[in-house]
Amino acid sequence: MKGQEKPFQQRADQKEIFNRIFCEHKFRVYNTVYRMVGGEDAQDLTQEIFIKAYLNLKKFRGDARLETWIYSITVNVCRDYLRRKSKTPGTVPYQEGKVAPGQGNPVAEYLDRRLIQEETQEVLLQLSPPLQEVLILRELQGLSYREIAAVAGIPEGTVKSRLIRARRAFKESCEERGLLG
Amino acid sequence: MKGCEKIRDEILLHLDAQMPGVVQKHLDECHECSAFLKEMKKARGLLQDLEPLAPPPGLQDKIMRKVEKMEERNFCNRLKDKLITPWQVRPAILVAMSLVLVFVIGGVFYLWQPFPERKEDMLMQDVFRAETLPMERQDPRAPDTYEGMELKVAERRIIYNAMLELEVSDADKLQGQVIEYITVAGGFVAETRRWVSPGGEVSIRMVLRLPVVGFEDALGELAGLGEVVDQSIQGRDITREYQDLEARIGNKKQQEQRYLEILQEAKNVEEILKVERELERIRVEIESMEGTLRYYQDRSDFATITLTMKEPQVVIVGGELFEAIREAFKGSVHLLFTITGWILPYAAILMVILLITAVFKSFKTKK
Repeated sequence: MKGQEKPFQQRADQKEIFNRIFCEHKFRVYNTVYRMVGGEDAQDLTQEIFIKAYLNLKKFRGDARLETWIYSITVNVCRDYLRRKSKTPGTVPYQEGKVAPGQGNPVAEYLDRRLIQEETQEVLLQLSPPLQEVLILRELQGLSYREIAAVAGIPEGTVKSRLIRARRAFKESCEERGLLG
Repeated sequence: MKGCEKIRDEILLHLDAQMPGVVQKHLDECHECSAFLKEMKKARGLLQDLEPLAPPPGLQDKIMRKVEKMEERNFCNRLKDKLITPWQVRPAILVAMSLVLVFVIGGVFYLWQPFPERKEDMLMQDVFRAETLPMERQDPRAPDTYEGMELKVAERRIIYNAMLELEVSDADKLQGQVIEYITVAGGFVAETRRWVSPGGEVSIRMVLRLPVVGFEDALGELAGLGEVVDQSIQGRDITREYQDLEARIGNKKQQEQRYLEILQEAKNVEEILKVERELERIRVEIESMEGTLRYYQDRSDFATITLTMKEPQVVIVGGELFEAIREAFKGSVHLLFTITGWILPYAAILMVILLITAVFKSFKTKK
């Protein structure tokens, strides 16, 4: 990971630099977004995030790591999205857990796995946004506490306490759905 | 199990790392807590099993396209901002308005003439007509040739015509004085015309008639009323024409007399009618000639003075400078009109193109 990106001034360079940034970060961003908001709008939001990044490229000063910067844009865009979405409730359908243990059959196992994946995603989506984002950044993106603090704009202590609450809430949700059975 | 709650937070925090010694010790002792850890690990396993997803393949192109479009729009926006942001629009409007103002003022200034210049003048026309009466042009040698007439100098007939233009401070007041003076001198005002210029300055033109005897005195007197701007005096000697006319009238009268005698001797109605016709013709001629004679008499008895009194124009102090500025302004306004005339069609075309692109752009971006 290149830590020290210089401020970008040249407009001609800008597009190329952006292209590089996109290629480097598209998996991170897309996955984070996907886990935070679900598959439905992940693509649109990813686009929104990168365009925001492009527009603010000039403002990026290299005093933070580029990765952290992109993550914070991601988090902010997702927060806005979730806030908007929470005002129109009922968009995330709650599904009764119906996971049966694998039968040894590869197809059934595959289907099981898909189902479990979907259920896990559902659980994530149902977590409250502050907990969810900490959990995703930590468990899926592997960020350090300090990085999460920088990305989410909260103190490290808050990151830790949120992480604890998030893990507990996640486990309980999984239990309810019988995912841990 | 009171202590377990606290320990569990620690367990949760260190789920993905080495458990601290104290926690590890507790886990070894507490069954429930180690079961909790097991469940937690299982749950965490679910999360970590989540498969990484590849972003849709078209996403990159889509974003790059959008970025490029925004780049274009950015340019347009910057242009639009330049033109339309309220703070920047105000000076633009001001400039436009002042331009229009300059045009209007310039146009008015350009078209406006300080005085409705009238040709010198209907008032003079009768005089000119008198001069161009269908008569023999005066022979310049005439007075010399008829030496005998030198004795009758007093009877010389001369038409005096003077034109006097004055600059005065108060034309209306002086008008009264002039009328008074002329009346005393035995003359009269034949015509008066008064007009006010856009600047409020009054101008008065009077045609004065007065006995020839007082002509020169009157001119001196009138010239004293203000500053003389323009002055001309014409004298036209019509002695010869006058005497000619007198002689011809005498002849005709003799003819008339003869016809009257013939009429007396007329024997029948036919003859009477014939003679009377002739008589009538000759009388008409005589009357006509006598009219001309009377006109000459009048003209030569009474001199004509055309007096114009003008109040000075406001800027008259720097008259020449003002005139120069006005000329320059006229010139530049003219140039401005010309240039605008040239630019206008192109500007219109440009505007239409800009408008179309703007509309097109907004339409596209909305999509």
